[in-house]
Amino acid sequence: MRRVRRLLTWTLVVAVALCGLTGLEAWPLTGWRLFSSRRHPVVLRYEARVLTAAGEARVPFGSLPHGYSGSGPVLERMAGQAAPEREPACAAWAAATTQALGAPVTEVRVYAVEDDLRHRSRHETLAWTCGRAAP
Amino acid sequence: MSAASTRPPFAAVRTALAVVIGVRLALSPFAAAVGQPQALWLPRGTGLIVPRPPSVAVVVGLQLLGVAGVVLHLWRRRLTPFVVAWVCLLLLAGVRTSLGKILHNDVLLVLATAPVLLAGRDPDEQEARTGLNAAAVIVLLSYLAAGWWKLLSSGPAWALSDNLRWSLVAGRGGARWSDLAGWLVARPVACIGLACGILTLEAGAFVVWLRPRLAPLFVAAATLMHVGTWLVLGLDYFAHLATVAVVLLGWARMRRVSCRPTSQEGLPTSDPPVGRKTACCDEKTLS
Repeated sequence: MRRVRRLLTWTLVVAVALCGLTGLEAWPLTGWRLFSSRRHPVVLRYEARVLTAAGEARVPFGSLPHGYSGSGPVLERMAGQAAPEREPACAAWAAATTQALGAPVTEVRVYAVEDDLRHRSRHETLAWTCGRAAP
Repeated sequence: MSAASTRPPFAAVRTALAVVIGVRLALSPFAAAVGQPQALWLPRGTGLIVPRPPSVAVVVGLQLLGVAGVVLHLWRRRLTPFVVAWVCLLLLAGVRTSLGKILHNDVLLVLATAPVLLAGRDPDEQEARTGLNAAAVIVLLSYLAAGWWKLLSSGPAWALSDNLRWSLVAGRGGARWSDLAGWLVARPVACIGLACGILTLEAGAFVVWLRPRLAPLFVAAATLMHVGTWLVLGLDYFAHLATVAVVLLGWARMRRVSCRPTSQEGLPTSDPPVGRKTACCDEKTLS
């Protein structure tokens, strides 16, 4: 038993080292790639907005339940998906935003946004729409 | 002449890690992860073993079970309740990292505690030393890997460019002390100096393994880095920092203790050997 525990201990250390060296993500083992990519003054990202009777507004992720907070990785995953695959996430955002704003959401619009931190300017293009309410 | 016991530093580390896990389980907003729609569930790690986001009852139940495990461990010195608390933290942190972004806040606490648990309930000298050595290696590897990836992905430009400055500009929305973030953003040279310090700390972590007496200095520098990160970006790495302090300071104490000569009765003596290298010391004992 003692030898097994010792073997497990050093196997864990080797696994931690290998993941750190190769960048493999197998949570809780991780590559520790914390802020490793160099930041540039121009940042590319996706931004979700909703369309209501009052017009277009950002999805208020800050005031939605914490379970909605990981929108960045979800949007990046959606960028590689076909339209029908995007619908469940969009429907979830539309329903939560309808409740938060108290106004029915008729469509979710996702923009590809290019933020220029140097000049405090932004350029955006409509990437896709989804979560359209039935007429 | 034999080495003094390494078991007291090990026991202190184990107790402190149990307290950190207990505090984390009690105060961390794990329940906030509840209510996530299935469509937004990106399971990772232990999140993979549950098909859907857990209910409030399950999350709060795991938190209570974990805290009870820590209390029982501290009270009765049993190992099993501590293992239960560790598993609760593993599961809950896995659920939280399944919200989308891979979270590292609890990872080091989970990983570095594992060898301390694997040492067994009443470890002998060898087991205690193996457990603490392994925990210290994991802590140092986490920094070394972070530095390695910065150099591999961005090269020296990670520190010698405006990289940190742009990171501060982009993350300023979450800052706890926005005046400090603004002050740094307005001073590119200060940002480069800070980035050089961060990279040196991370890539130079292995030096602590060779020179354990540098552990307090390393812990102080890591404290500055993580508290600074919290102030200017709002990222909470306090569990990570507590793990670093507990493990490295305990490990350094163990290395000191195990280098101290003992009398024939096994008690540490006050007279260190002068000017020679001992079997387990990394440095010459000062005369």
